[in-house]
Amino acid sequence: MAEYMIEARNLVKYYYLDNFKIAKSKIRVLHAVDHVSFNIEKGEIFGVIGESGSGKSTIGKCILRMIEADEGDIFFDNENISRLNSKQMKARRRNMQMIFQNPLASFNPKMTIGKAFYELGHVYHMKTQEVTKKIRELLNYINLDEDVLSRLPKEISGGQLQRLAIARALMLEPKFLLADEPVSALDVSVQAQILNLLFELKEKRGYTILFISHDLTVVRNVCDHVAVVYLGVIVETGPVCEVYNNLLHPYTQALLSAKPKEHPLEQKERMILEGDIPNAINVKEGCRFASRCPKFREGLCDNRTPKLRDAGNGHFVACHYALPSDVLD
Amino acid sequence: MDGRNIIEINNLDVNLMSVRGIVHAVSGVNMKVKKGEVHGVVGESGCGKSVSAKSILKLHDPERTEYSGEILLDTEEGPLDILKMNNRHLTNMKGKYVSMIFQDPMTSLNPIMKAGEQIAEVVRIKKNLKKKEAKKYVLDIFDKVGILPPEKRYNQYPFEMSGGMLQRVMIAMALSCEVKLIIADEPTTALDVTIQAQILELMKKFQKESNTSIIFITHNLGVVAEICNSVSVMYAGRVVESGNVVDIFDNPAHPYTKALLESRPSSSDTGKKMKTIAGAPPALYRKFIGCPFEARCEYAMDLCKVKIPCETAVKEEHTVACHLYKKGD
Repeated sequence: MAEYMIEARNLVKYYYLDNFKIAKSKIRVLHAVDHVSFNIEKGEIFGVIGESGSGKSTIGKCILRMIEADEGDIFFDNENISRLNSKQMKARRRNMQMIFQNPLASFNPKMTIGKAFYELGHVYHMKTQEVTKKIRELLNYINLDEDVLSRLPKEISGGQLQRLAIARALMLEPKFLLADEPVSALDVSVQAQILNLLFELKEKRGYTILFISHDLTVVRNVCDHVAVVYLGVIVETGPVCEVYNNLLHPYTQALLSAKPKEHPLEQKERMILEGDIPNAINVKEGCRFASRCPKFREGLCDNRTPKLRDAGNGHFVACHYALPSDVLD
Repeated sequence: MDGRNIIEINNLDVNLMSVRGIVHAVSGVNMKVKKGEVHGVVGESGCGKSVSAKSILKLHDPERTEYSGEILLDTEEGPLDILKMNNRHLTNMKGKYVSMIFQDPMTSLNPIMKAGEQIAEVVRIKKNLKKKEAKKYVLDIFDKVGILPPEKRYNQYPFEMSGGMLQRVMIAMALSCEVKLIIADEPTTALDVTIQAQILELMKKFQKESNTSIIFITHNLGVVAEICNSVSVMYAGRVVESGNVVDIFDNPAHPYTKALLESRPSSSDTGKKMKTIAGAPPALYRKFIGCPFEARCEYAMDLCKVKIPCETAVKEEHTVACHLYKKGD
């Protein structure tokens, strides 16, 4: 039995729009995360893929309790953290750190890099010498000179700043890292540096990472398990090699076929989805992908919400017609 | 100027005055775009791809920009140098021969004007149509580029539409005047993959129908493979390699192009280390004495430090600026 670092059970996060309306039936509910459950094993990189507005970042933030989930339990290292108060949470936060998409926005623009590091140490009552030693070690690890410490964030390039953001997240020696689109703001050549660094953290130092991304290729390269999210629900999940070799959900298939070619002469069968991702306001019973799905069948898809079903080898899919045993008439 | 080319950029230098000094954003760029072809310009951020494209319309602040070289545009009156045009002439040329699509449609459309009316305004001025005729004309284009239903969308404001729909509006605007050349500056970068696939498909379709030339600026090599016929790779304000798209992907000559192609995450590998380009692109405040890529290049020689390589043909219509390829060797 594998040991889990994170267990999320039935996470729910609804946003109530126009709360001021008196007639209750008129309040619109945005289902940002709707009964999502997954487990992250210790020492693995777990990828969450989705388009913008799919709720992937909300899931990540709910796990760290940066956003309070409405329902559901989060177990961190076998401890239920979903009801802890803020003081208790602070002690746990030390073990869970995050890296965001835009490194420039995650550093205080008026603080030098060094100060940002010391500030973090100060919050967690680390001794100054201890912090200095740690910073040296980390800068050495991410291959940067010590003179970056006296610079302001705006004076440092995006790739270097993202590496510093990772170093800062590592300073408290957490057990778990949340990386929310850490490479989407970076150029290709720099993107590879950051991905290699994350991969090394997992391989050599045994970190557990939740990797949120919209890029299927990147996820395939670095992750062990993957969950595909669409409008707040997981539509397909499983081990990366299993999922990518045997795409079952029509949304995952469309997502992969929408990816640009790798070579100009590559022949690619395209499955182009109509329309935009709808918003998750007042979703009704039925499959959420029904409005854009090429396999849509009236009767079943718009009336019954598909549940995640086992497709073997830890691969789960939520579609009425995904498994070979499902009859397509 | 060759009659087959719609535009020829010869030895273009663009210097921008900034607070911190002169930025040599573009130096010695040569580019030829044939009629009816899609020419890609790839490079990392800060390599001068957008600056050179904007120079074609002279969109930089005239008081802080210095141009030299020539940009020849094939017009009815024969080839004309855009850099020598006066403002009135330039305004006439915009929308008649050249139009532009920007990365962020939200900031390039007027937020307090209905989407349809913005295009109708252009059509009324450029095509001398009456108000009603212009509306009908715009509705036709909306229908063609998939802004559905056209009547409703005509009266919507930009904030009421999604990113993908707005980019369609931008495309509709660029198409409305039946120009000969469209400059598309990262038109799909801000969009999700599934929407990106829709937009690329749309651009391919109208390009084929109207035989317009497109200069397609992107940092995504996948998008280049998808839509371009030929491509120029830029680094530090210079074109380092240019040629037919299949040639560049199959036999990249310049070490930078090679590294760029190799640092893409490949869709077949899982959990493998990616190749990176060490270091970061140089700042452009100084003029280079040697090859700008020298510091990051694995094949760097002594010659690279002291002499800027000039363009050498490795094959017909495939040129490279690198000392590894010398004439007569």
